[in-house]
Amino acid sequence: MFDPRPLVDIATAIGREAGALVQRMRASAVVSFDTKSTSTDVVTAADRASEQLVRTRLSELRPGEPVLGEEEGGTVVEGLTWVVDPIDGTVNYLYGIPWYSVSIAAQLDGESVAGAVVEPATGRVWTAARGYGAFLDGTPLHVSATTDLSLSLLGYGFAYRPERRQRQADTWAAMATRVRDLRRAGAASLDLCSVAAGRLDAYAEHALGRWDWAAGG
Amino acid sequence: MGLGGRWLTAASGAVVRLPGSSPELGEDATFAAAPGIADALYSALVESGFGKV
Repeated sequence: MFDPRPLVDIATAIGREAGALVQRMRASAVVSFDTKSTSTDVVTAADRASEQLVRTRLSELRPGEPVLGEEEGGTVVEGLTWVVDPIDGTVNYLYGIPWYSVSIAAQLDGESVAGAVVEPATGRVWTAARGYGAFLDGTPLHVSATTDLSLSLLGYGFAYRPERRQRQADTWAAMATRVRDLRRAGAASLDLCSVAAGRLDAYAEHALGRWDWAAGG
Repeated sequence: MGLGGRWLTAASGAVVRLPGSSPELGEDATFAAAPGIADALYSALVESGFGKV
């Protein structure tokens, strides 16, 4: 029987190393950055360096296995593919808000089977392996037991395109009267982990990349 | 509600729908919720236009 737990160990070790790099680079990385889909969609030198480190380490530890990364691309194939977000929450990273992550997942035939979400600023590590549960620093995670939508805390996000963002804002304004409150924290992988830990009761967003949800979703 | 994927969030007991699995929420929607509110939240999001953004 396939045991995904060794893949968690690999994702965790590489994620920690990439997270340490990201932290070391922060002071210099935020001085100069580029943009991608829109002027508000940023990428720093640390995003690129982190992905390169992850790709290099995976090629050493898991030679021949393909990698899909946010910055360098790639494709998901039959069999095992590694899915990497070198910094999820780059805008938070840019502003010094400690809610960002390095997210590494192993997907088998497109389904996540193992992964780690590392918080570089705190050192916390969220992990899961298919069939073995989800954990924060080794402590099992449990979703909230809430049953009342009006008393729920809902996380959400925005797309980058302004016209879509306006429509999303209209939706969230409508939802604001139906839940306890809304939270927009800015890192999808960690927002999904927050649902796993019961720190949010729910989360919804559009236009996430596979790298955003592969380890957390 | 069918599940588009079961992962870290799903492993903790949440209801999770990944992009491509829930057209009513939009083809690129990601949705994760505690099971006790998942159905009610799903309906509220649809009513609020979440699937048409």
